[in-house]
Amino acid sequence: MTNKLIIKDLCMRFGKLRVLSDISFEVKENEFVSIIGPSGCGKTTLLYLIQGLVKQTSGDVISEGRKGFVFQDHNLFPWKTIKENILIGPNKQSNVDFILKNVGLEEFSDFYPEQVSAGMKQRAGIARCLAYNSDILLMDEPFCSLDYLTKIKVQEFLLKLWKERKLTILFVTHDIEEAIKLSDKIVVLSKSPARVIKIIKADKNKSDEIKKEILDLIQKAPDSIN
Amino acid sequence: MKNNKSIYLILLILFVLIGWQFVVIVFNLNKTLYPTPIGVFTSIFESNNLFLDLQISLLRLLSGSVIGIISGILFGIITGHFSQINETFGKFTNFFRFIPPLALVPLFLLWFGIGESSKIGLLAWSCFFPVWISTYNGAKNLENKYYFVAKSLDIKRFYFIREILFKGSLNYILNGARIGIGIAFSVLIAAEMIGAYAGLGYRIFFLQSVYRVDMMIAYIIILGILGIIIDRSFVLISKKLMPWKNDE
Repeated sequence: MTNKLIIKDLCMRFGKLRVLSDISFEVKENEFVSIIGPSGCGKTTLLYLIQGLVKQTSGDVISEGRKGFVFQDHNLFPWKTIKENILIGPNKQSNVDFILKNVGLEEFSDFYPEQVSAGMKQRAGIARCLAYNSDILLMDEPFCSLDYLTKIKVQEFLLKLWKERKLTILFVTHDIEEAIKLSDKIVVLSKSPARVIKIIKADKNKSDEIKKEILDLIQKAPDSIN
Repeated sequence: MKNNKSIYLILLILFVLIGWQFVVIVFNLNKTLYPTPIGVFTSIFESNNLFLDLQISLLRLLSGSVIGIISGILFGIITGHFSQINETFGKFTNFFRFIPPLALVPLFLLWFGIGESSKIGLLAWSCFFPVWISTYNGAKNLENKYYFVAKSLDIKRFYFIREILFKGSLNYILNGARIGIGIAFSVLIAAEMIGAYAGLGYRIFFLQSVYRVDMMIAYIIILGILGIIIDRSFVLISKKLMPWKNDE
């Protein structure tokens, strides 16, 4: 399998504040990789850097294919319908109707974001990336604000989409169980300034052990010097 | 419930009209100077110029407002999006915002004459500033997250300005336009009083010179009704242009 995404010695500073410290890992084609770490450690910043929304202080991001970003709060434009949100931007695919059907939103295509549920909004955010022809999805805690049942449904939907479209996914979450459930491997980050402590294979049969290991790693990781 | 509220309003209006009629008659006031409501109402039918005046004033208002609104939106988007332009042109233009438009009436009449240009120019000027500032605020207040979305989808600048910045600022723009037209309306009447040969403002001023107070009051009431119609039209236009806000 080829590498779809290579993160090499990525560092980020905001003035004197060091946020990310020598982050390196790889994501292979069609892999589902989760990034987990304590709150405020820089997971979102890392994802923004990988997408190119913010420029890194040093290090490289090498990617093959088009990256699509799914934001934490979907970030749909309130003044556009679901269909218009998915189609936003020039050079969009003409098969938006197929995408709408794929994400189960065909009946809601002419609704505005405030008229649909949180789960639907997140699905629309994902559909927007699909219409952008993304084969790499960068997802920033996309399900954190959903209730438990909706979260389960959208997680199942994402896994189905991942398999059908052979996507490569980099998924930021603070939920260890979610990371284990969805991913092939988990990149564990330390407290800020974040560095990679360990990359763990997400064996679904050893869920409890992995959870304990991740918690231990995060708690025991020494604070880096700024 | 709504019917009850309308009934109270109608009753209040009737009460005021009857009271007004009563006061003039009972206190034997000079009906030339203090006409009765019946006198005001019947004077409308004596006016040969009402529709012409309405037409001319509305046309001036529309022409001037459209120019003012469009230029206000363009300048607001540009100064809101390009900070360097705001630091120069924006700050320079801001000085003129504080000049009351009515103070410019005599100057515009001298420069552009009593024809349509002076009136339309004044109305465009009056309308421009509230629309510019509102649009600027709308552009400036566009949430950062939408910039990130645009960048993540590789959206180019012109498309961003048209589809995201402009449409995202529509609420601000329409509020500014509503205020702008209100100001333009006042300035129109003042400008017509000083330098015009037709129009609602001109007619009111003329009627004062011939002591037709009944017709003056009729015209003034019509101005008020026109103002309400324009304002309500704005609410309807806003609902049409911003359907996503209709559930709020």
